[in-house]
Amino acid sequence: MTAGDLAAAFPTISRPAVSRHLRVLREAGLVVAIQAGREWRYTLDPAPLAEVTQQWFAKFAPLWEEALANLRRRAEA
Amino acid sequence: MTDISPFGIRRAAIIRATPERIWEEFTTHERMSAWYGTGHELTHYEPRVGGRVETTFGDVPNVARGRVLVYNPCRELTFEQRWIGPDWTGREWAAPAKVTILLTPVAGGTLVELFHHGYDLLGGDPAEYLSGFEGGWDTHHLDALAVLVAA
Repeated sequence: MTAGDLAAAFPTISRPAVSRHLRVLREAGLVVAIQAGREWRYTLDPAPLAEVTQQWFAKFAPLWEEALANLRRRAEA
Repeated sequence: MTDISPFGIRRAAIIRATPERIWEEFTTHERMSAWYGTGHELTHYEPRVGGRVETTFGDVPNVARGRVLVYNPCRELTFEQRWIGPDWTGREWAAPAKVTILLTPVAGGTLVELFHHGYDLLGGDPAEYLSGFEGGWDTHHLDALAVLVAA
């Protein structure tokens, strides 16, 4: 999508504000910009988000194998 | 015994000790957190039915909380694990997930099974939770099988 397409999708947000949002998203690596002729085309890159999700899962639950190994070490001692 | 939801994960090990000995590790907060508090911190654990269980991680307090549902010495421990506030998708859980630990005496020791289950009741897409909690890597074989079967 071009910045114009995106701005059209958010009619209540000003064009400069859309540009600022895009810049922040690009800096965060969530949006990739490719120049096509005179225009920039923006695409979403969900990989960094997947990384965040994975970290969340890994921390939310214990590392199950590690927990069982700990239990084994203590019970078999 | 708690019904184990098929929407969950299972890890198991045979430990060379009696169920009575292993259960000792579930009887106090200090002992429980010594083995279970890996990757996150077990901040609260009351070993009785209705007792509160709480785990946290990260700089901003990320908290999961619940109650002990089954405390059946030497056999089963089940407690709820409900995410407090919106999870990473912005969703509030409709119900808690559950952790069930089963001890079964077998030749030479005890079969220890650890289930994290109930993803179908959280309110989101159970498949998303399943692949997330599996850690991704060990579901690759099943993903490959799904591709083969679908072909």
